[in-house]
Amino acid sequence: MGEVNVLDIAYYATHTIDMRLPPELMRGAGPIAVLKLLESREMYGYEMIESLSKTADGVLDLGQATLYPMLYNLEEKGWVASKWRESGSGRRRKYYGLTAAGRRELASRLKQWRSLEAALRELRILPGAAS
Amino acid sequence: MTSGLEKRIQEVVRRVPRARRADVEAELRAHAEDGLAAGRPAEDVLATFGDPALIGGAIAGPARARRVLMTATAIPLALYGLSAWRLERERPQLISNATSCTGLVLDRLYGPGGALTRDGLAWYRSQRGKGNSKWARLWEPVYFTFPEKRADVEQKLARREEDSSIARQAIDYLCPFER
Repeated sequence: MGEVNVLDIAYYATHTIDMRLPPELMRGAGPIAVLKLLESREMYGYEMIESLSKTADGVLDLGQATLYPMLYNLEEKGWVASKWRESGSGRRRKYYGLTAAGRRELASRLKQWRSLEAALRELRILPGAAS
Repeated sequence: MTSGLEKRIQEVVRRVPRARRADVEAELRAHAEDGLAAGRPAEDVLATFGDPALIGGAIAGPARARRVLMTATAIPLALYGLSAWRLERERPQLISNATSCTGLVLDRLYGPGGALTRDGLAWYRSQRGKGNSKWARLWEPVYFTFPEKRADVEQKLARREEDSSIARQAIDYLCPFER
């Protein structure tokens, strides 16, 4: 068994592996992740954050400091619409849902991401050769 | 809701445009209550807010950018309108009691109120090499924001100052014996 390096232990103890995307990648991936979440049903902010944090080891983990400005921006563009509604627990929450324009935007962005994915496979950045 | 959370919500909301404050506040409050109801400690929920200036700024961002753009457009437009108004208001007709050639030329260029006459404006246009097209007329208020005042020309003439103003060029051209 090799010698244990105290500095290595200190390094791993202080550097937790953070799988969250850097802001420049999140700017592209965040909106499509939110639009995709809302594709199947209406959701409120906290619910979206919880869903995203449980997805893919928290890679798409959005804090509320990122999510709410993003939601307001998507709403301004007409891709999502919101309404206040009382939930089963009696608490009032603002639910967001996809609009028709949002569905079109999602479809267009999915297409772009699939092209990007194919290109990354071809470059062997992602596993699996592009057919 | 703890006082720390309440304070943080207010710090964020304060940075949001007035028209959206109530809605944003209600939503952040609902978010914090959801976190607390899910059993998360208040400090944990508080931490998710991040820097209030950042979140407030991000929410206000597009509206603020629009406001800046509107202001940046409105100010030049207002200045243009003001200049066009100054240029076009009561462009006076020629009334001349001048006894000298210079006075006659100045009377043709400037009306009694000191504003350019039609002839004066035409002379200014010709000296600037401007045409008489719609576009040229559209740019006129920008060219002639502050046309030279008659009093300034007269003062320079009285002091026998050399200058190459447009009015002076007219006088030198039309009244060579008086200069």
